[in-house]
Amino acid sequence: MKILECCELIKTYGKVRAVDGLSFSVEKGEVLGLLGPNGAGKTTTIKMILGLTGLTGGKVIIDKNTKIGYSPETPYFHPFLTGYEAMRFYSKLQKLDRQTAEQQIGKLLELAGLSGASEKRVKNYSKGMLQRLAFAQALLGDPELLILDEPTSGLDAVGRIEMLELIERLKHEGKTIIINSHILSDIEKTADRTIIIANGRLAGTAHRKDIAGSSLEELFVKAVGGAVHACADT
Amino acid sequence: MLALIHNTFRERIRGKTFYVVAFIGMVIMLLVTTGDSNLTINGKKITGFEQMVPVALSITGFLSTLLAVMVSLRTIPDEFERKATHLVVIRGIKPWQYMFSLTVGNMLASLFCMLSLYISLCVFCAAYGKLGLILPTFLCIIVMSVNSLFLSAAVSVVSIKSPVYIAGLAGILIYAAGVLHGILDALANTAQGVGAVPARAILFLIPDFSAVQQQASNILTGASVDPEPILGSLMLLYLVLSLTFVLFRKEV
Repeated sequence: MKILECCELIKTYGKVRAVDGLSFSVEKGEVLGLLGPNGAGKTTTIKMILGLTGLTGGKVIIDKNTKIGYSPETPYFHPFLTGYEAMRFYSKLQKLDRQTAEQQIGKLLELAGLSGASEKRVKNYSKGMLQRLAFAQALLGDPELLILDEPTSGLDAVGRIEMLELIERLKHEGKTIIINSHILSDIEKTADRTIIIANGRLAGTAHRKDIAGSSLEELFVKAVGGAVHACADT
Repeated sequence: MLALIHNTFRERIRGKTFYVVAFIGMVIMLLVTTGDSNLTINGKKITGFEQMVPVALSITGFLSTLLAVMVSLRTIPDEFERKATHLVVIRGIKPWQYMFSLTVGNMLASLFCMLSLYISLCVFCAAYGKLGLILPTFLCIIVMSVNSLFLSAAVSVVSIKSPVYIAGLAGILIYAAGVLHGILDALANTAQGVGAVPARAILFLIPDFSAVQQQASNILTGASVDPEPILGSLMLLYLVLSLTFVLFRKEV
């Protein structure tokens, strides 16, 4: 069952086509990796899905009642808030009742390894802590679709492993996840299916089973560096 | 929306602004209400505390309007520039709710700035044993706050589409036009030519700050209060606030 479908997405900035007729869909319970070089149009695609930027062409099909969680690449939280207050603020925007919010905030801060820093002001957080807080707030309200933009950015080796384990755990819980990353190994470890984007177009698709014998890197280089071909079965 | 308003207000409270304002307020009130003054009216030296209160209120009004501009001009552009908007908009908050809440948050912060200046005056009222002045001066402050609220809302609305420096400049120009409203109005009404009609239209959309301030002074002196300029300002405030329902930036 499809939870999200993107049809012929187009986004232009002046004369530049950031996204050029990109089509793909996401199945419920699937972890989809978005892979591509810098400037390929991955973040723009995510912004279009989230409604943060308008579409020049195409359409995004998603049930309006689908709860979406989003962790941005460079998360910004109001620096004067503590970690707990930031979570509380977003829970209020989501209209979670106090009891549910308190339960979820405690659980999510613990999950993100921020329980000890929940009363610390966000301005004193390291980049890795901000990334983990972004991850925690994305899970508020138990979203059905989770969109993670460069979730391991700014994390040290241990933090990165922990984050990938968390994603794996959520996947086993049945969450649908879209991961945007330029780190091939992260995508390789977590994604059931990967779409490779180059120059705003679909350059290739790789299923987990397809890359059993080879590496995603080989497929990536082939797709980005070689002939660009669109996969019709997306 | 309440969460957004509260958050905007909280951001200002936790900044250094309020501490600086409260300190400046104390210093100004100390200078104005104590010591020998060279101010004279009809050759009579003004040294009594009661006589200095209108001066202190005028200074409070002036500082409050400046603070309203300062407090309001960064909030909205910062939200867009830092992409703080992303985590708000994806939670189903409508653009108008977002902009309206930030504007109201700015207005409350401006009001709080004014009250923190006023508290300094209250401290001196208490110190001089003039507790009877607290209620009338509070009513004056309420009337004068209309100017600060309007300026805060106007700067916030301009900042939705414009960078900080344009919003700041707009705030100063609106303030100047509001203070000199009477003179500018007279000039616009006598002017001829192409510019006369737009000038009159612009002035129509800017409240008469001086007239509002005058009504506040009338409360203190016991003179009759004309509600027209106050209601006119409130109407324009409503008009400015309604712009938050339609303005938003394309890229959030």
